[in-house]
Amino acid sequence: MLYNLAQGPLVWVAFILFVAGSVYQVTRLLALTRKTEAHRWGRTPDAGPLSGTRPADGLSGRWTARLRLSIAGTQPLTIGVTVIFHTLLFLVPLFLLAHNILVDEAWGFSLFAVREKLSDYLTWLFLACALFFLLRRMLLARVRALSSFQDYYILFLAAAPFASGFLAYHQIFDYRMVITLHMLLGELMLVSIPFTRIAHMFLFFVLRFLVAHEYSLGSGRRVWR
Amino acid sequence: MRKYNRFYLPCAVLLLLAFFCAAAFCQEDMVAVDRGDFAHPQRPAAVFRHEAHNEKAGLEDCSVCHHLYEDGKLVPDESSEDQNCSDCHPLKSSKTAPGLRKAFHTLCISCHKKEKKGPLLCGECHLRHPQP
Ligand code: HEC
Ligand code: HEC
Ligand code: HEC
Ligand code: HEC
Ligand code: HEM
Repeated sequence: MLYNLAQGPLVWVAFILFVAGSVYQVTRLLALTRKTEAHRWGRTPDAGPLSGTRPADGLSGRWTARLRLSIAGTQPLTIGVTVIFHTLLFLVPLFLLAHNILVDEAWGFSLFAVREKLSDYLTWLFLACALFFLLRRMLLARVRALSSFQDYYILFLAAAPFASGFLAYHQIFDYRMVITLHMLLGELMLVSIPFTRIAHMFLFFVLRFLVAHEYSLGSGRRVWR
Repeated sequence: MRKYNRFYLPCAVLLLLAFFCAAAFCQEDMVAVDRGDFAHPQRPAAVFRHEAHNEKAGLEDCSVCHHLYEDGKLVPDESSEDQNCSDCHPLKSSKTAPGLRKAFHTLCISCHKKEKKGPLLCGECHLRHPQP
Protein backbone atom coordinates (compact mmCIF):
# COMPACT_ATOMS: atom_id res chain seq x y z
CA MET A 1 0.00 0.00 0.00
CA LEU A 2 2.67 2.45 1.09
CA TYR A 3 4.68 0.96 -1.75
CA ASN A 4 2.05 1.92 -4.34
CA LEU A 5 1.89 5.42 -2.93
CA ALA A 6 5.66 5.82 -2.92
CA GLN A 7 6.03 4.47 -6.42
CA GLY A 8 3.18 6.42 -8.02
CA PRO A 9 1.65 9.70 -6.81
CA LEU A 10 4.42 10.64 -4.36
CA VAL A 11 7.00 10.70 -7.15
CA TRP A 12 4.92 13.40 -8.85
CA VAL A 13 4.25 15.32 -5.63
CA ALA A 14 7.96 15.31 -4.86
CA PHE A 15 8.92 16.33 -8.38
CA ILE A 16 6.41 19.21 -8.55
CA LEU A 17 7.40 20.54 -5.11
CA PHE A 18 11.04 20.32 -6.13
CA VAL A 19 10.57 22.32 -9.34
CA ALA A 20 8.18 24.88 -7.82
CA GLY A 21 10.36 25.36 -4.72
CA SER A 22 13.50 25.76 -6.81
CA VAL A 23 11.94 28.37 -9.08
CA TYR A 24 10.68 30.24 -6.02
CA GLN A 25 14.09 30.27 -4.33
CA VAL A 26 15.97 31.43 -7.42
CA THR A 27 13.43 34.18 -8.10
CA ARG A 28 13.65 35.29 -4.50
CA LEU A 29 17.43 35.52 -4.62
CA LEU A 30 17.29 37.44 -7.89
CA ALA A 31 14.77 39.86 -6.38
CA LEU A 32 17.02 40.42 -3.37
CA THR A 33 19.92 41.33 -5.62
CA ARG A 34 18.06 43.38 -8.18
CA LYS A 35 20.35 46.40 -7.86
CA THR A 36 23.46 46.45 -10.04
CA GLU A 37 26.71 48.35 -9.67
CA ALA A 38 29.47 49.09 -12.12
CA HIS A 39 32.12 48.36 -9.52
CA ARG A 40 33.41 44.78 -9.68
CA TRP A 41 34.74 43.38 -6.45
CA GLY A 42 36.21 40.23 -7.91
CA ARG A 43 38.72 42.16 -9.99
CA THR A 44 40.10 44.58 -7.43
CA PRO A 45 43.59 43.71 -6.28
CA ASP A 46 43.03 44.64 -2.66
CA ALA A 47 40.25 42.14 -2.03
CA GLY A 48 39.55 38.45 -2.39
CA PRO A 49 41.86 35.54 -2.90
CA LEU A 50 44.21 37.47 -5.19
CA SER A 51 45.12 40.08 -2.60
CA GLY A 52 48.45 38.40 -1.91
CA THR A 53 49.74 38.46 -5.48
CA ARG A 54 51.62 41.08 -7.44
CA PRO A 55 51.21 41.82 -11.16
CA ALA A 56 54.79 40.62 -11.60
CA ASP A 57 53.69 37.04 -10.83
CA GLY A 58 52.24 36.77 -14.35
CA LEU A 59 49.04 35.07 -15.42
CA SER A 60 49.90 31.48 -14.45
CA GLY A 61 51.43 32.73 -11.22
CA ARG A 62 48.18 34.46 -10.42
CA TRP A 63 46.25 31.27 -11.08
CA THR A 64 48.46 29.08 -8.93
CA ALA A 65 48.23 31.73 -6.25
CA ARG A 66 44.48 31.75 -6.62
CA LEU A 67 44.41 27.96 -6.15
CA ARG A 68 46.89 28.00 -3.27
CA LEU A 69 44.98 30.68 -1.41
CA SER A 70 41.55 29.15 -2.04
CA ILE A 71 40.23 26.31 0.15
CA ALA A 72 41.65 23.87 -2.41
CA GLY A 73 45.03 25.01 -1.18
CA THR A 74 44.30 25.22 2.51
CA GLN A 75 42.05 22.11 2.81
CA PRO A 76 43.13 19.81 -0.03
CA LEU A 77 41.77 16.59 1.52
CA THR A 78 38.30 17.98 2.19
CA ILE A 79 38.14 19.52 -1.28
CA GLY A 80 39.22 16.22 -2.87
CA VAL A 81 36.55 14.31 -0.98
CA THR A 82 33.90 16.91 -1.75
CA VAL A 83 34.59 16.76 -5.48
CA ILE A 84 34.22 12.96 -5.47
CA PHE A 85 31.12 13.19 -3.27
CA HIS A 86 29.29 15.69 -5.50
CA THR A 87 30.23 13.95 -8.73
CA LEU A 88 28.94 10.60 -7.49
CA LEU A 89 25.81 12.17 -6.02
CA PHE A 90 24.73 13.03 -9.57
CA LEU A 91 26.32 10.37 -11.72
CA VAL A 92 25.51 7.19 -9.79
CA PRO A 93 21.69 7.52 -9.74
CA LEU A 94 21.59 9.01 -13.25
CA PHE A 95 23.44 6.13 -14.89
CA LEU A 96 22.17 3.34 -12.65
CA LEU A 97 20.81 0.39 -14.64
CA ALA A 98 17.81 -0.18 -12.36
CA HIS A 99 16.73 3.48 -12.55
CA ASN A 100 17.10 3.47 -16.31
CA ILE A 101 15.12 0.27 -16.78
CA LEU A 102 12.30 1.73 -14.66
CA VAL A 103 12.33 5.01 -16.59
CA ASP A 104 12.34 3.09 -19.86
CA GLU A 105 9.34 1.03 -18.73
CA ALA A 106 7.46 4.15 -17.69
CA TRP A 107 8.34 6.62 -20.44
CA GLY A 108 9.91 4.54 -23.20
CA PHE A 109 13.33 6.19 -23.17
CA SER A 110 16.43 5.92 -21.04
CA LEU A 111 19.99 7.10 -20.66
CA PHE A 112 23.09 5.04 -20.98
CA ALA A 113 23.69 2.83 -17.92
CA VAL A 114 26.95 1.54 -16.46
CA ARG A 115 27.49 -2.01 -15.25
CA GLU A 116 25.94 -2.73 -11.89
CA LYS A 117 29.22 -3.86 -10.33
CA LEU A 118 30.67 -0.43 -11.05
CA SER A 119 27.66 1.39 -9.56
CA ASP A 120 28.01 -0.84 -6.55
CA TYR A 121 31.69 0.06 -5.99
CA LEU A 122 30.91 3.75 -6.54
CA THR A 123 28.14 3.48 -3.94
CA TRP A 124 30.72 2.18 -1.46
CA LEU A 125 32.96 5.10 -2.35
CA PHE A 126 30.13 7.60 -1.92
CA LEU A 127 29.20 6.21 1.49
CA ALA A 128 32.84 6.43 2.54
CA CYS A 129 32.89 10.12 1.54
CA ALA A 130 29.68 10.72 3.53
CA LEU A 131 31.23 9.05 6.55
CA PHE A 132 34.26 11.29 6.19
CA PHE A 133 32.05 14.39 6.34
CA LEU A 134 30.12 13.05 9.31
CA LEU A 135 33.29 12.31 11.29
CA ARG A 136 34.81 15.63 10.34
CA ARG A 137 31.74 17.45 11.56
CA MET A 138 31.65 15.51 14.81
CA LEU A 139 35.36 15.39 15.63
CA LEU A 140 36.84 18.73 14.57
CA ALA A 141 35.99 21.27 17.25
CA ARG A 142 36.00 24.24 14.88
CA VAL A 143 33.58 22.51 12.49
CA ARG A 144 31.42 21.22 15.32
CA ALA A 145 31.07 24.74 16.67
CA LEU A 146 29.51 25.87 13.40
CA SER A 147 27.21 22.87 12.95
CA SER A 148 23.49 22.92 13.43
CA PHE A 149 20.85 20.23 13.11
CA GLN A 150 20.37 21.05 9.44
CA ASP A 151 23.96 20.20 8.59
CA TYR A 152 23.45 16.66 9.84
CA TYR A 153 20.03 16.46 8.23
CA ILE A 154 21.23 17.33 4.72
CA LEU A 155 24.11 14.88 5.01
CA PHE A 156 21.58 12.24 6.01
CA LEU A 157 19.34 13.17 3.06
CA ALA A 158 22.19 12.72 0.62
CA ALA A 159 23.43 9.43 2.05
CA ALA A 160 20.11 7.72 2.82
CA PRO A 161 19.06 6.93 -0.78
CA PHE A 162 22.52 5.47 -1.37
CA ALA A 163 22.49 3.35 1.77
CA SER A 164 18.97 2.05 1.16
CA GLY A 165 19.60 1.49 -2.57
CA PHE A 166 22.66 -0.50 -1.59
CA LEU A 167 20.64 -2.68 0.82
CA ALA A 168 17.99 -3.20 -1.87
CA TYR A 169 20.52 -4.17 -4.51
CA HIS A 170 22.10 -6.73 -2.22
CA GLN A 171 18.68 -7.81 -0.96
CA ILE A 172 19.68 -7.39 2.65
CA PHE A 173 16.68 -7.24 5.04
CA ASP A 174 13.12 -7.47 3.70
CA TYR A 175 13.36 -6.39 0.05
CA ARG A 176 9.88 -4.84 -0.23
CA MET A 177 10.37 -2.77 2.89
CA VAL A 178 13.85 -1.59 1.91
CA ILE A 179 12.84 -0.60 -1.61
CA THR A 180 9.79 1.31 -0.33
CA LEU A 181 12.03 3.12 2.13
CA HIS A 182 14.49 3.84 -0.68
CA MET A 183 11.83 5.51 -2.80
CA LEU A 184 10.46 7.52 0.14
CA LEU A 185 13.95 8.72 1.07
CA GLY A 186 14.69 9.66 -2.54
CA GLU A 187 11.47 11.66 -2.64
CA LEU A 188 12.20 13.28 0.73
CA MET A 189 15.56 14.39 -0.60
CA LEU A 190 13.99 15.86 -3.74
CA VAL A 191 11.41 17.83 -1.73
CA SER A 192 13.99 19.03 0.75
CA ILE A 193 16.42 20.42 -1.84
CA PRO A 194 14.83 23.87 -2.30
CA PHE A 195 13.94 24.31 1.37
CA THR A 196 17.26 23.40 2.98
CA ARG A 197 20.84 24.42 2.36
CA ILE A 198 20.99 21.81 -0.41
CA ALA A 199 19.53 24.72 -2.39
CA HIS A 200 23.18 25.72 -2.87
CA MET A 201 22.90 23.28 -5.77
CA PHE A 202 21.50 26.12 -7.90
CA LEU A 203 21.87 29.19 -5.65
CA PHE A 204 25.63 28.61 -5.95
CA PHE A 205 25.51 29.62 -9.60
CA VAL A 206 23.43 32.73 -8.96
CA LEU A 207 25.64 33.87 -6.09
CA ARG A 208 29.01 33.13 -7.61
CA PHE A 209 28.35 34.20 -11.18
CA LEU A 210 25.77 36.97 -10.95
CA VAL A 211 26.30 38.66 -7.60
CA ALA A 212 29.38 40.83 -7.06
CA HIS A 213 31.58 40.05 -4.06
CA GLU A 214 35.17 39.17 -3.34
CA TYR A 215 34.60 35.49 -4.17
CA SER A 216 32.70 36.02 -7.45
CA LEU A 217 33.72 33.73 -10.24
CA GLY A 218 32.27 35.78 -13.07
CA SER A 219 31.92 39.47 -13.52
CA GLY A 220 28.51 39.67 -11.87
CA ARG A 221 27.25 43.12 -11.06
CA ARG A 222 24.28 42.38 -8.85
CA VAL A 223 24.50 43.65 -5.29
CA TRP A 224 22.31 43.08 -2.26
CA ARG A 225 19.49 45.57 -1.94
CA MET B 1 36.97 -59.36 2.15
CA ARG B 2 37.74 -60.23 -1.49
CA LYS B 3 34.29 -61.79 -1.94
CA TYR B 4 32.51 -58.70 -0.72
CA ASN B 5 34.43 -56.44 -3.03
CA ARG B 6 33.54 -58.57 -6.03
CA PHE B 7 29.91 -57.99 -5.26
CA TYR B 8 29.72 -54.45 -3.92
CA LEU B 9 32.14 -52.71 -6.23
CA PRO B 10 30.19 -53.35 -9.46
CA CYS B 11 27.01 -52.44 -7.58
CA ALA B 12 28.44 -49.10 -6.52
CA VAL B 13 29.61 -48.37 -10.05
CA LEU B 14 26.18 -49.19 -11.44
CA LEU B 15 24.50 -47.02 -8.87
CA LEU B 16 26.74 -44.06 -9.70
CA LEU B 17 26.08 -44.53 -13.41
CA ALA B 18 22.35 -44.55 -12.74
CA PHE B 19 22.66 -41.23 -10.92
CA PHE B 20 24.52 -39.62 -13.78
CA CYS B 21 21.97 -40.88 -16.30
CA ALA B 22 19.12 -39.57 -14.24
CA ALA B 23 20.75 -36.16 -14.09
CA ALA B 24 21.44 -36.20 -17.80
CA PHE B 25 18.17 -37.53 -19.17
CA CYS B 26 15.42 -36.66 -16.75
CA GLN B 27 15.63 -32.88 -16.96
CA GLU B 28 14.22 -31.03 -14.01
CA ASP B 29 11.32 -28.60 -14.44
CA MET B 30 12.42 -25.10 -15.27
CA VAL B 31 12.83 -23.04 -12.08
CA ALA B 32 14.50 -19.93 -13.55
CA VAL B 33 14.92 -18.39 -16.98
CA ASP B 34 18.31 -19.35 -18.39
CA ARG B 35 20.54 -16.28 -18.67
CA GLY B 36 23.22 -18.07 -20.65
CA ASP B 37 22.28 -16.09 -23.77
CA PHE B 38 23.57 -12.90 -22.15
CA ALA B 39 27.26 -12.36 -22.75
CA HIS B 40 28.05 -11.13 -19.24
CA PRO B 41 25.04 -11.65 -16.98
CA GLN B 42 24.86 -9.13 -14.15
CA ARG B 43 21.89 -10.36 -12.17
CA PRO B 44 20.94 -13.68 -10.61
CA ALA B 45 18.68 -15.65 -12.99
CA ALA B 46 15.01 -14.65 -12.81
CA VAL B 47 12.88 -17.11 -10.87
CA PHE B 48 10.30 -18.68 -13.18
CA ARG B 49 8.75 -22.07 -12.48
CA HIS B 50 7.31 -22.60 -15.96
CA GLU B 51 4.59 -25.16 -15.16
CA ALA B 52 3.59 -23.82 -11.75
CA HIS B 53 3.59 -20.21 -12.97
CA ASN B 54 1.36 -20.84 -15.95
CA GLU B 55 -1.02 -22.99 -13.95
CA LYS B 56 -1.34 -20.39 -11.19
CA ALA B 57 -1.75 -17.56 -13.68
CA GLY B 58 -4.21 -19.59 -15.77
CA LEU B 59 -2.15 -19.38 -18.98
CA GLU B 60 -3.08 -22.17 -21.34
CA ASP B 61 -2.24 -20.47 -24.62
CA CYS B 62 1.47 -20.99 -25.21
CA SER B 63 1.61 -18.24 -27.85
CA VAL B 64 1.02 -15.52 -25.24
CA CYS B 65 4.73 -15.87 -24.55
CA HIS B 66 6.05 -18.07 -27.35
CA HIS B 67 4.80 -15.89 -30.17
CA LEU B 68 5.72 -16.59 -33.75
CA TYR B 69 6.64 -13.95 -36.32
CA GLU B 70 7.21 -14.48 -40.00
CA ASP B 71 8.50 -11.62 -42.15
CA GLY B 72 7.88 -9.27 -39.25
CA LYS B 73 4.23 -10.24 -38.99
CA LEU B 74 2.68 -12.01 -36.02
CA VAL B 75 1.31 -15.41 -36.97
CA PRO B 76 -1.80 -15.75 -34.81
CA ASP B 77 -2.58 -19.05 -33.12
CA GLU B 78 0.89 -20.37 -33.90
CA SER B 79 3.53 -20.75 -31.22
CA SER B 80 7.31 -20.97 -31.13
CA GLU B 81 8.15 -22.98 -28.02
CA ASP B 82 10.67 -24.97 -30.07
CA GLN B 83 12.78 -21.80 -30.25
CA ASN B 84 14.55 -19.69 -27.66
CA CYS B 85 13.63 -16.04 -27.35
CA SER B 86 17.24 -15.29 -28.24
CA ASP B 87 16.78 -16.91 -31.67
CA CYS B 88 14.82 -13.84 -32.75
CA HIS B 89 15.80 -11.29 -30.09
CA PRO B 90 19.47 -10.33 -30.29
CA LEU B 91 21.21 -8.66 -27.35
CA LYS B 92 20.78 -5.16 -28.79
CA SER B 93 17.39 -3.71 -29.66
CA SER B 94 16.82 -3.13 -33.36
CA LYS B 95 14.07 -1.70 -35.52
CA THR B 96 12.66 -5.18 -36.15
CA ALA B 97 12.57 -6.54 -32.58
CA PRO B 98 13.31 -5.45 -29.02
CA GLY B 99 16.60 -6.63 -27.55
CA LEU B 100 16.65 -9.76 -25.42
CA ARG B 101 16.60 -8.11 -21.99
CA LYS B 102 13.85 -5.73 -23.02
CA ALA B 103 11.85 -8.55 -24.59
CA PHE B 104 11.86 -10.50 -21.34
CA HIS B 105 11.11 -7.49 -19.18
CA THR B 106 8.31 -6.21 -21.40
CA LEU B 107 6.67 -9.61 -21.64
CA CYS B 108 6.78 -10.43 -17.93
CA ILE B 109 6.26 -6.99 -16.40
CA SER B 110 3.56 -5.65 -18.72
CA CYS B 111 1.34 -8.63 -17.93
CA HIS B 112 2.01 -8.37 -14.19
CA LYS B 113 1.09 -4.68 -14.36
CA LYS B 114 -2.06 -5.39 -16.31
CA GLU B 115 -3.12 -8.22 -14.01
CA LYS B 116 -2.07 -6.29 -10.86
CA LYS B 117 -0.51 -9.59 -9.80
CA GLY B 118 3.03 -10.94 -9.95
CA PRO B 119 6.38 -9.23 -9.30
CA LEU B 120 7.34 -5.81 -10.71
CA LEU B 121 10.64 -5.00 -8.99
CA CYS B 122 14.14 -6.17 -9.84
CA GLY B 123 14.74 -8.03 -6.61
CA GLU B 124 11.43 -9.88 -6.75
CA CYS B 125 12.40 -11.72 -9.94
CA HIS B 126 16.21 -11.71 -9.70
CA LEU B 127 16.34 -13.33 -6.28
CA ARG B 128 19.80 -13.58 -4.73
CA HIS B 129 18.71 -16.24 -2.25
CA PRO B 130 15.98 -18.17 -4.08
CA GLN B 131 13.85 -20.45 -1.90
CA PRO B 132 14.09 -24.07 -3.01
C1 HEC C 1 4.35 -16.76 -19.20
C2 HEC C 1 4.99 -17.02 -20.43
C3 HEC C 1 5.05 -18.44 -20.96
C4 HEC C 1 3.99 -19.25 -21.30
C5 HEC C 1 2.50 -18.95 -21.22
C6 HEC C 1 4.58 -20.48 -21.81
N1 HEC C 1 5.94 -20.41 -21.76
FE1 HEC C 1 7.23 -21.85 -22.34
N2 HEC C 1 8.81 -20.66 -21.79
C7 HEC C 1 8.70 -19.38 -21.36
C8 HEC C 1 10.00 -18.81 -21.22
C9 HEC C 1 10.33 -17.38 -20.77
C10 HEC C 1 10.93 -19.81 -21.58
C11 HEC C 1 12.45 -19.71 -21.65
C12 HEC C 1 12.77 -19.29 -23.05
C13 HEC C 1 14.23 -19.04 -23.33
O1 HEC C 1 15.05 -19.29 -22.46
O2 HEC C 1 14.53 -18.59 -24.44
C14 HEC C 1 10.13 -20.98 -21.94
C15 HEC C 1 10.66 -22.18 -22.38
C16 HEC C 1 9.90 -23.22 -22.87
C17 HEC C 1 10.44 -24.45 -23.39
C18 HEC C 1 11.91 -24.80 -23.43
C19 HEC C 1 12.13 -25.65 -22.19
C20 HEC C 1 13.41 -25.55 -21.49
O3 HEC C 1 13.49 -26.17 -20.42
O4 HEC C 1 14.30 -24.83 -21.94
C21 HEC C 1 9.38 -25.22 -23.81
C22 HEC C 1 9.43 -26.64 -24.42
C23 HEC C 1 8.18 -24.48 -23.53
N3 HEC C 1 8.52 -23.27 -22.96
C24 HEC C 1 6.92 -24.92 -23.82
C25 HEC C 1 5.76 -24.22 -23.54
C26 HEC C 1 4.43 -24.71 -23.87
C27 HEC C 1 4.13 -26.03 -24.57
C28 HEC C 1 3.56 -23.77 -23.43
C29 HEC C 1 2.04 -23.79 -23.50
C30 HEC C 1 1.41 -24.86 -22.81
C31 HEC C 1 4.35 -22.69 -22.83
N4 HEC C 1 5.68 -23.00 -22.93
C32 HEC C 1 3.82 -21.53 -22.27
C33 HEC C 1 7.54 -18.67 -21.08
C34 HEC C 1 6.27 -19.18 -21.26
C1 HEC D 1 10.14 -16.38 -34.28
C2 HEC D 1 10.90 -15.30 -33.75
C3 HEC D 1 10.54 -14.83 -32.33
C4 HEC D 1 10.59 -15.59 -31.17
C5 HEC D 1 10.98 -17.05 -31.01
C6 HEC D 1 10.25 -14.69 -30.11
N1 HEC D 1 9.99 -13.43 -30.61
FE1 HEC D 1 9.41 -11.79 -29.53
N2 HEC D 1 9.24 -10.72 -31.25
C7 HEC D 1 9.63 -11.15 -32.50
C8 HEC D 1 9.54 -10.04 -33.43
C9 HEC D 1 9.88 -10.09 -34.93
C10 HEC D 1 9.04 -8.92 -32.71
C11 HEC D 1 8.79 -7.51 -33.21
C12 HEC D 1 7.35 -7.26 -33.45
C13 HEC D 1 7.09 -5.86 -33.95
O1 HEC D 1 7.79 -4.94 -33.55
O2 HEC D 1 6.18 -5.71 -34.75
C14 HEC D 1 8.86 -9.40 -31.34
C15 HEC D 1 8.37 -8.59 -30.30
C16 HEC D 1 8.42 -8.95 -28.99
C17 HEC D 1 7.98 -8.08 -27.91
C18 HEC D 1 7.40 -6.69 -28.08
C19 HEC D 1 5.96 -6.59 -27.73
C20 HEC D 1 5.07 -7.55 -28.44
O3 HEC D 1 4.69 -8.57 -27.82
O4 HEC D 1 4.71 -7.30 -29.58
C21 HEC D 1 8.21 -8.78 -26.75
C22 HEC D 1 7.90 -8.31 -25.35
C23 HEC D 1 8.76 -10.08 -27.10
N3 HEC D 1 8.87 -10.14 -28.48
C24 HEC D 1 9.14 -11.06 -26.20
C25 HEC D 1 9.53 -12.36 -26.55
C26 HEC D 1 9.88 -13.41 -25.60
C27 HEC D 1 9.94 -13.22 -24.10
C28 HEC D 1 10.16 -14.52 -26.32
C29 HEC D 1 10.53 -15.92 -25.79
C30 HEC D 1 9.58 -16.52 -24.86
C31 HEC D 1 10.01 -14.18 -27.73
N4 HEC D 1 9.64 -12.85 -27.83
C32 HEC D 1 10.23 -15.05 -28.77
C33 HEC D 1 10.06 -12.42 -32.83
C34 HEC D 1 10.18 -13.48 -31.95
C1 HEC E 1 0.13 -13.18 -19.51
C2 HEC E 1 0.44 -12.79 -18.16
C3 HEC E 1 1.79 -13.13 -17.55
C4 HEC E 1 3.02 -13.19 -18.16
C5 HEC E 1 3.36 -12.95 -19.63
C6 HEC E 1 3.98 -13.47 -17.11
N1 HEC E 1 3.34 -13.60 -15.90
FE1 HEC E 1 4.24 -13.98 -14.10
N2 HEC E 1 2.45 -13.94 -13.21
C7 HEC E 1 1.23 -13.69 -13.82
C8 HEC E 1 0.19 -13.72 -12.83
C9 HEC E 1 -1.30 -13.48 -13.11
C10 HEC E 1 0.80 -14.00 -11.59
C11 HEC E 1 0.13 -14.11 -10.21
C12 HEC E 1 -0.25 -15.52 -9.93
C13 HEC E 1 -0.97 -15.59 -8.60
O1 HEC E 1 -0.32 -15.34 -7.59
O2 HEC E 1 -2.16 -15.84 -8.63
C14 HEC E 1 2.23 -14.12 -11.86
C15 HEC E 1 3.18 -14.42 -10.87
C16 HEC E 1 4.53 -14.49 -11.10
C17 HEC E 1 5.52 -14.80 -10.10
C18 HEC E 1 5.24 -15.09 -8.64
C19 HEC E 1 4.93 -16.56 -8.56
C20 HEC E 1 4.39 -16.98 -7.25
O3 HEC E 1 4.45 -18.20 -6.98
O4 HEC E 1 3.88 -16.16 -6.50
C21 HEC E 1 6.74 -14.79 -10.71
C22 HEC E 1 8.11 -15.04 -10.06
C23 HEC E 1 6.51 -14.50 -12.11
N3 HEC E 1 5.17 -14.31 -12.31
C24 HEC E 1 7.52 -14.40 -13.04
C25 HEC E 1 7.29 -14.19 -14.40
C26 HEC E 1 8.34 -14.11 -15.39
C27 HEC E 1 9.83 -14.24 -15.11
C28 HEC E 1 7.71 -13.88 -16.57
C29 HEC E 1 8.36 -13.67 -17.94
C30 HEC E 1 9.21 -14.73 -18.43
C31 HEC E 1 6.29 -13.82 -16.33
N4 HEC E 1 6.07 -14.00 -15.00
C32 HEC E 1 5.34 -13.60 -17.33
C33 HEC E 1 1.02 -13.44 -15.14
C34 HEC E 1 2.01 -13.39 -16.13
C1 HEC F 1 8.94 -10.04 -13.80
C2 HEC F 1 10.28 -10.45 -13.58
C3 HEC F 1 11.43 -9.46 -13.77
C4 HEC F 1 11.58 -8.21 -13.19
C5 HEC F 1 10.63 -7.48 -12.27
C6 HEC F 1 12.88 -7.73 -13.60
N1 HEC F 1 13.49 -8.65 -14.42
FE1 HEC F 1 15.35 -8.50 -15.21
N2 HEC F 1 15.04 -10.20 -16.28
C7 HEC F 1 13.94 -11.03 -16.15
C8 HEC F 1 14.11 -12.18 -17.03
C9 HEC F 1 13.13 -13.33 -17.21
C10 HEC F 1 15.36 -12.01 -17.69
C11 HEC F 1 16.04 -12.93 -18.71
C12 HEC F 1 17.04 -13.95 -18.21
C13 HEC F 1 17.40 -14.02 -16.76
O1 HEC F 1 18.08 -13.12 -16.26
O2 HEC F 1 17.00 -14.99 -16.09
C14 HEC F 1 15.91 -10.75 -17.18
C15 HEC F 1 17.13 -10.22 -17.57
C16 HEC F 1 17.75 -9.15 -16.96
C17 HEC F 1 19.08 -8.68 -17.27
C18 HEC F 1 20.00 -9.25 -18.33
C19 HEC F 1 20.67 -10.51 -17.82
C20 HEC F 1 21.77 -10.23 -16.82
O3 HEC F 1 21.75 -10.88 -15.76
O4 HEC F 1 22.63 -9.37 -17.08
C21 HEC F 1 19.35 -7.63 -16.42
C22 HEC F 1 20.64 -6.81 -16.34
C23 HEC F 1 18.16 -7.41 -15.64
N3 HEC F 1 17.22 -8.34 -15.99
C24 HEC F 1 18.04 -6.42 -14.69
C25 HEC F 1 16.84 -6.10 -14.07
C26 HEC F 1 16.64 -4.89 -13.26
C27 HEC F 1 17.72 -3.88 -12.92
C28 HEC F 1 15.35 -4.90 -12.88
C29 HEC F 1 14.63 -3.83 -12.07
C30 HEC F 1 14.52 -2.55 -12.67
C31 HEC F 1 14.73 -6.11 -13.42
N4 HEC F 1 15.68 -6.80 -14.14
C32 HEC F 1 13.42 -6.50 -13.20
C33 HEC F 1 12.84 -10.83 -15.34
C34 HEC F 1 12.63 -9.71 -14.55
C1 HEM G 1 17.96 11.05 -5.87
C2 HEM G 1 17.76 10.08 -5.09
C3 HEM G 1 18.23 8.66 -5.36
C4 HEM G 1 19.50 8.16 -5.25
C5 HEM G 1 20.77 8.92 -4.89
C6 HEM G 1 19.42 6.75 -5.53
C7 HEM G 1 20.50 5.89 -5.50
C8 HEM G 1 20.42 4.51 -5.70
C9 HEM G 1 21.52 3.62 -5.59
C10 HEM G 1 22.93 4.07 -5.23
C11 HEM G 1 21.06 2.35 -5.87
C12 HEM G 1 21.81 1.02 -5.97
C13 HEM G 1 23.06 0.85 -5.22
C14 HEM G 1 23.88 -0.33 -5.60
O1 HEM G 1 23.79 -0.83 -6.72
O2 HEM G 1 24.66 -0.73 -4.71
C15 HEM G 1 19.65 2.46 -6.18
C16 HEM G 1 18.83 1.41 -6.53
C17 HEM G 1 17.49 1.54 -6.86
N1 HEM G 1 16.73 2.71 -6.84
FE1 HEM G 1 17.41 4.54 -6.36
N2 HEM G 1 18.11 6.41 -5.83
C18 HEM G 1 17.35 7.56 -5.74
C19 HEM G 1 15.99 7.68 -5.95
C20 HEM G 1 15.15 6.63 -6.35
C21 HEM G 1 13.72 6.76 -6.60
C22 HEM G 1 12.93 8.08 -6.41
C23 HEM G 1 13.26 5.51 -7.00
C24 HEM G 1 11.89 5.04 -7.42
C25 HEM G 1 10.78 5.71 -7.41
C26 HEM G 1 14.41 4.60 -6.99
C27 HEM G 1 14.37 3.26 -7.33
C28 HEM G 1 15.44 2.38 -7.23
C29 HEM G 1 15.38 0.96 -7.54
C30 HEM G 1 14.14 0.19 -8.01
C31 HEM G 1 16.67 0.44 -7.31
C32 HEM G 1 17.14 -0.99 -7.53
C33 HEM G 1 17.08 -1.84 -6.35
C34 HEM G 1 17.46 -3.25 -6.77
O3 HEM G 1 18.53 -3.43 -7.33
O4 HEM G 1 16.66 -4.15 -6.53
N3 HEM G 1 15.54 5.31 -6.60
N4 HEM G 1 19.29 3.79 -6.06
